Amino acid sequence: MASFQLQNSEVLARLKPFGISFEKSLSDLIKGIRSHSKESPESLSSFLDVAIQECKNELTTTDLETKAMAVLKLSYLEMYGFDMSWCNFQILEVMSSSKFQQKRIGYLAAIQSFKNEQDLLILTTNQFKKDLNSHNHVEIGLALSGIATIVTPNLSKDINDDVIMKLNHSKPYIRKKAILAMYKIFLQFPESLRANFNRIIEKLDDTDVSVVSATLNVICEISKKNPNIFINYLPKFFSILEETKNNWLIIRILKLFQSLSKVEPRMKKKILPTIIDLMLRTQASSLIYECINCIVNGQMLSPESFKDKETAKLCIKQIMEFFKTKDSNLKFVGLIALINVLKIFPIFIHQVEGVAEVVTDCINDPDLIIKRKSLEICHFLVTEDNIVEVVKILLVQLIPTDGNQVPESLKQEVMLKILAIASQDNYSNIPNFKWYIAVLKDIINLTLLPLPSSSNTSAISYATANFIAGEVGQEFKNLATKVPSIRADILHRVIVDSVKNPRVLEICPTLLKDFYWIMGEYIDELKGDPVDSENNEIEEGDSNTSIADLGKKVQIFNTLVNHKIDKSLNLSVNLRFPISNKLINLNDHDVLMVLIQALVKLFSGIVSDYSEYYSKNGALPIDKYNEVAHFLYKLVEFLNNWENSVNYEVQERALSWLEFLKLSLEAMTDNDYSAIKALESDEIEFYRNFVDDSNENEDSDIDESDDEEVEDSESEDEVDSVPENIREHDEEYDSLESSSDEVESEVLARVNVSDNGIEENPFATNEEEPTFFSETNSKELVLPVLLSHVLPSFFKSYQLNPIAKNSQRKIAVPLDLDLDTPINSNNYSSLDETEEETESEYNLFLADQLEIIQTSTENISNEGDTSVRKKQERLERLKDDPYYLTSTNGDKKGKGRGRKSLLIDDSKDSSVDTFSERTSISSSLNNQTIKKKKKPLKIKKDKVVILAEETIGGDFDNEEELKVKATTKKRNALKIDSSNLDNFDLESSSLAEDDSTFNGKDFEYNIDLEELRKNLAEASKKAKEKEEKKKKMKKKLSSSKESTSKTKSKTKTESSDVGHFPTADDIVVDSNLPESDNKVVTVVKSKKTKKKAKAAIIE
Amino acid sequence: MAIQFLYLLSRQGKVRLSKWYQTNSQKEKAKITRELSTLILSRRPKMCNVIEYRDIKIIYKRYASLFFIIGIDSEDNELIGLEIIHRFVEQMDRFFGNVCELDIIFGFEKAYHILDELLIDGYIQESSKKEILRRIGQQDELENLDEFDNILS
Repeated sequence: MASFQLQNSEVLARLKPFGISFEKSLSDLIKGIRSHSKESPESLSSFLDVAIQECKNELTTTDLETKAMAVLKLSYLEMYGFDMSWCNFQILEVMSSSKFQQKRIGYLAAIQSFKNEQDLLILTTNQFKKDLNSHNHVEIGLALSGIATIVTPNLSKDINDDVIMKLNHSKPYIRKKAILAMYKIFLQFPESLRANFNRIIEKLDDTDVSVVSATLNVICEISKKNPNIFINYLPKFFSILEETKNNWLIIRILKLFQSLSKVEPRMKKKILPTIIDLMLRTQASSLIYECINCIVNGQMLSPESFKDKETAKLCIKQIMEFFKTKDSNLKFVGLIALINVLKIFPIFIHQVEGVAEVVTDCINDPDLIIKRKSLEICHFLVTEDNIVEVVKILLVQLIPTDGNQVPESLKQEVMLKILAIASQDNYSNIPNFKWYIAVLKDIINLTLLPLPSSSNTSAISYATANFIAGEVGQEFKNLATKVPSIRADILHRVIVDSVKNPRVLEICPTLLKDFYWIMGEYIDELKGDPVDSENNEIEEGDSNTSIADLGKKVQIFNTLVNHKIDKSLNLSVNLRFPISNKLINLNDHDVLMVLIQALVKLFSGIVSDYSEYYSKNGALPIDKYNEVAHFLYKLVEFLNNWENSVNYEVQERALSWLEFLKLSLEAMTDNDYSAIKALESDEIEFYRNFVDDSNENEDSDIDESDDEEVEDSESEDEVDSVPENIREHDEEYDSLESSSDEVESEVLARVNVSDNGIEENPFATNEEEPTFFSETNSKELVLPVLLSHVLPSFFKSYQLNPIAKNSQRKIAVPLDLDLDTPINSNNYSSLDETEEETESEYNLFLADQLEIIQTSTENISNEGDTSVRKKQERLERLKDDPYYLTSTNGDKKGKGRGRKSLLIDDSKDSSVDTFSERTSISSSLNNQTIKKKKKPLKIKKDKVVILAEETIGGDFDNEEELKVKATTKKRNALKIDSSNLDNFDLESSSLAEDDSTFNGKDFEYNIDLEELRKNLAEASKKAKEKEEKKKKMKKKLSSSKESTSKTKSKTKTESSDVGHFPTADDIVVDSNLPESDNKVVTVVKSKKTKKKAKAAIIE
Repeated sequence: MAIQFLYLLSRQGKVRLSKWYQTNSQKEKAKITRELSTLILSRRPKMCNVIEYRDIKIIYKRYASLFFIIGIDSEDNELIGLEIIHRFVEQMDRFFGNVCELDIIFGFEKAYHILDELLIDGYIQESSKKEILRRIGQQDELENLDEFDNILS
């Protein structure tokens, strides 16, 4: 016989000489593992494999001692992640050993390994029963421990009575274990709770304090799911609380009160003084913490009450003591408690001394956990006065400290927090939007675009970058729409730089999605240079700024579009237009979609600038005209890249714009591209010279930054050059007369273009002689209507206003909107139609064919096909086809009528009414300025118009809240499975709540009890039904059957309100109420609850 | 106060004791253990001992070379969690007499027994310090009787 215990090593030593021990002992195994793990992982794994094989062999022997040994070894190996469920039967064998030593090993292994094995548990049940009824109380204790861990629904049913018996065992050790084991049985077998509720309550009076403590433990756990059933015993709990000195017990009772207080707010009056007293008296911080938890989480504080405010202050005072200890754990729990209190009384963060400092301190804490927690409440910290400091503190968190990287998740959190803080109350706290833009730029630089020089900042992951870029981009977008005065700033300081910076495109194209949008939408705001004069690098006269703006636009446009230049220059490195080249290969469709729109808007902006600055009587001088045409041509070329994009939306947008732009181009040039070609070659030549120059100047080691510089200098040239030329032009133009005949001038222009265009270059530097223009620019052309009027009308017809989230959903669907009936019911033939020519004879011929197709596909019998009828049919088909213009008078009338009626309907419609209301509100808000009250020291508060969000109606949040509620139910693998009790209890309790609020009676004791009884009766009924169902039929019940059985059971419950269910009565023994009064009410209720119950079952 | 699991981790990241109070697959357990190990081993001594993980809280405490790690419900009292860990260590300390990592490695079943007397399926069953050791003593006595029988027979 072998022994394996260290303590018995003496015995072991004595036995060894007899050569009885052949197996490897446990200590051999452990030593083996230790020595092998020092060598290599391979040798360890091979050693473990051998060891497990040995155990397997040992398990097959008949000797129980050897088996027990093997089981013990395996349970050691279980720690290393080896599954041992395959030897469950052997474990069971060891459990059943008569020797306590082996039994103990068996139970130990069983607790570690048994998991819901049904077939095995039938055998286990008998073993448990046997051990529970053992004469030795130690064995009983062992069995109870085992039951508590292993219990399954079936086992709990079978073992229930035996465990209940043990509740009255003579030894408190057994009683205590039994009651804790009962809780596990309740979880699996809720029926038992109903039957044995009183037995549990009885145990509160147990003579042994550990039993009382265990009982309270059980009650506390159940009360988390269903507090209602314990409300009657409040006095009992209270007296225990007052008597005991055991902090463990007190904390448990406080936990219980916390759950009870949520359903019985009136108890607050009685227990709150005691809790406060407890909190102030005790030294144990865990108890103080629990007291605060009980007060706060037990919903004993209401923000309105003055008394509660005092209580909260007291709590905060206690919490402040935690922070003084410098113990990080107390700091953490203190912070949690503080967060909970502050959520109810946010004002205390400034009213109580030291709170703000503590929170700030926590934000700066090196411990990420504390830092994260404190981020939760730092928005309470913010006032108009200190927002700059708070945001600064938050920004500092993004900076890596002494080699430690800031985790990406923290970056996200901090970023979100800053945005949340800033946008609070529609940006009312922001002192100065220029400052805020700087903050946003800092965020971008600290998260998305780490400086390439600082090597320790590793690139942020794609997902995080996308997320941050999306949020920050959104914020810029919000700012641009909401704060009109800041738009120019955003464009100048952020957008233009980012759009021209190839790194942004490289690292996070997502950011550009919003930036492109802003650029496109507010390109006209790119006026003047809002950068302060000391920063102003481009010194220019005031009169030229407007033309400089045009230069900027053109520059952006070229940066994005000029990819062909590089190709024609045969550049492969040091591209002149890296961004444009990258855009073509960009795979981010969301960005491309926006880019396409933005480019057209940008072009539209350029066109309108041209016509504003250069036009005379609505006509452009020929050179400018050609420049515009050249831009248009380049844009068309550029958009052509996405003609065949794989992304539908990109393709669609590109194509629809292409159609329009090509049409415009045609209108401008009449298919004569000579002027454009000339400009193009000039441009290429210009850049070729430029590249050559730069190559000469800066040798071969031109890196990106140099490249940018080059670009910058080039841009200066451009900007300088354009206005100078223009000034000349202006002078010239003043004296010129515009030709009255457009057609004539156009013809003339085309003649002239071939001569002049070659020399003409918008990017020409100062070398270009101004005198040159005086001869050639005598011709002027009028831009086609498509460009001068139609294009801007796409973008500028309506002002873009911020709209509140979800408000769009509130707009009522117009009454006359019919989405069901097809607009064009004759869709099927449209393909044939396009092939068809309009000539009537041909039509006649085809009509036969068409008819055949029709009859074959649609089985429409077509008789008497006269040409007239065909024509009518055709007209009918074409009526709604946007590609055909109907010429007949009747049709026009119809259309006119249609439109009219639409208008009339609109004005009647309620949605339109609200719309007009909205606009009026918003316009009034537009004029409203945010008034400053105090002058902050550092940053002056600007008077800024912030557009309010437009909303319809009042609470649009409801839907969202509901959604949130729906999604909060999550399953967690780690949570102990108490879903049984959950379902059973939650249902009844929630019903009780529903009903009580329905009747307008707030938690009256008698009503509660009556309902409780009712609900429990129903629940038991349900449970019984469920079981019956399980037994009788397999799951699926036809709904009709169910409903009939429901109605039957309903009548049953009504009739047998008291008598039929003794279990329900048991629970509410203490109540002696007049029942007849309530009965009428409850009958009605039961109908209601029944319906709900049915739904639950079907679920 | 339901403890979801308890395990002991050496500074090298080796599991020295593991107890799960709810059904998890071996794979899931390994995953949680791995994730928590990297989290906890990377934390510095002065930091707080509470980690929010998934939707539970992890309380850990280092004693000599061992980390004692428990998972509790998020609404449970963190300080009590620490207290339970301390109680467990105290009990082992008394039982083994100045407990060290090796004691727990070689006497792992004893450690489990103590734990089973302290907690029953994750719930504190005994808050008295003396009681637990008394129970363990009783059981050991019974074992030794068996042992004695073995030798005699």
